[in-house]
Amino acid sequence: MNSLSDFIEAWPLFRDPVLTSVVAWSALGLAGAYIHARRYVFLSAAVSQVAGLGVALSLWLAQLTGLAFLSSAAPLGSALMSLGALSLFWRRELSAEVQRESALMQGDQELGLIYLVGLSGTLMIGSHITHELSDIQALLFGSAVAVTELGFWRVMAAGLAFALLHLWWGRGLITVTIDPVGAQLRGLPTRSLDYSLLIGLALLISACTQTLGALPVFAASVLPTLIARPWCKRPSQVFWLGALLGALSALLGYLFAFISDSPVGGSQTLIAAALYLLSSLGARALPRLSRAQ
Amino acid sequence: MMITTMNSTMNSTMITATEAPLLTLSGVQLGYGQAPLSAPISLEARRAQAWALIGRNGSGKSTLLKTLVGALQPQAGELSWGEGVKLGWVPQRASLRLELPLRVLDAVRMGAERGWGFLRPWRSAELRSHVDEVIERAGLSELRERSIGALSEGQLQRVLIARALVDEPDLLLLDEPTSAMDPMSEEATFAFLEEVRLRRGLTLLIASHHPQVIPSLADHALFLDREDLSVKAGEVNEVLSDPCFLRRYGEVSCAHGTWSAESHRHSHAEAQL
Repeated sequence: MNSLSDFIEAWPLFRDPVLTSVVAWSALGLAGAYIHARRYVFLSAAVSQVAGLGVALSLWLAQLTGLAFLSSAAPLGSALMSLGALSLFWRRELSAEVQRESALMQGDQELGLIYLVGLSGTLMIGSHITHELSDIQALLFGSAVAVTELGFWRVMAAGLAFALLHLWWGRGLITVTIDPVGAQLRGLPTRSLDYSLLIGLALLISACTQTLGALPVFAASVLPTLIARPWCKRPSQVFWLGALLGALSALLGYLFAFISDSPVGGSQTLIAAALYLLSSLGARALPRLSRAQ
Repeated sequence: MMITTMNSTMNSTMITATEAPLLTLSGVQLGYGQAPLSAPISLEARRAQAWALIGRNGSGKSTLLKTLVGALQPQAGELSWGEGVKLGWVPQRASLRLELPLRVLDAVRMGAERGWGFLRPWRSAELRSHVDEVIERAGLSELRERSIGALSEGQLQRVLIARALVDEPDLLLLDEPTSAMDPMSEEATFAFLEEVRLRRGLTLLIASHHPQVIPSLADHALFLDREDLSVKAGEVNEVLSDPCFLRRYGEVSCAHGTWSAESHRHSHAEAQL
């Protein structure tokens, strides 16, 4: 067991990974409100798995062909796989305007397929690139404790880009999310807004998956919003509180992983899940307490 | 210049208008892809008219509304709007994504917003007072801080109507506005719509698969029948006496009289004599 003072002493060593985690969880916490509002929860799981498959494929091809540059093209492979998965999903979104019920069912089936292919493909390929096994585990479960400089800057850039997108077009994105037809009627550029959001989500999830792994990315895009939701009265509050709670989950999770000598991704996910439990219990208990008073 | 006369006679309100139509459909066919869903539709909707779009599920009512708001293109025919006509839209609850927390005040205010960036200045004092006025007129003042997730169906519908009205539309499209309501909420919603229509000269197009309730509000109707691919548009009495309508729905009571297959056959025979 390590102690908090050990962590503080070793801070220069952990600064970049902690900062990367905090920024990624924070940006995904912000994006999570859109994911939640658009019922894209399973989409973020599927895209993060497929992004992992993109990286695994690049590493495997590099080993198979002996072309080393392919392994450094892993970010591109990951982004392309994410965008591919999203374009399949986008087809569903377009058809949802036409036959909503059937399109939604079909879309769920497609997302399930993408998720399963992403996960099983990564596992299958991982078994063939034995010297990269730790990379594959890090990719799936977020077990890495360190980040590369490239990974650090990739997450910073993707997080900042998504935050700027939200600041710039947030009101429109929220309006289009809640009532797409009404937004179109009021003259909002619904198609541009939808494309921007989907591409922003794909790039953010892809960049964070390559650096943190699929499990914590999925958790970060879902749990902070769920924790924040009962305490918010307006849409804008969910975004910023989600981002704040994402950062808190990342920090506490990293600390818990260090102290208990556990994998970071799993620790952060469990901390966020515990916060969600507390939030749900608190939200139920508070009205009763105020009534009792 | 609008010329509208209103004559209240017994329980019905007859509204006639002599101005140019707000909406004209000339042989418009609806559908997705290449498959037409309806026979050609022709109608002219004028100021302060209340149109009921009647038909069974899948008859094309929602498709017509989506075509009118521009989400779908007509398969054939011509759709034209009067000059500067502003549309309002009251969607079905199921088509809204209400996962994010939203107060009544936010929901109504959303109807007036046209910008899409947080960085753009917004919420002028004028807009705030206009939103407040619409909320008050809709009888929502006591609910303005309440989350719309905690509202009853009737209250939510009222919020959605207020949200559409805050933009001061000339023509309001409503997609199954009372489908999930109990009779009392339904009656209250129709009374509210009627009050707004008369006060503001608003034109209403209300899609519903309940023919029994819609005629109490409507003075015109469009009946869509997918099985026979037939369409009937005109004054509500004409449509309710249409043989195809009577075959599908039978007797329907409305503010303009009671119609049934029996009475129609009788009046038809009298006319022939």
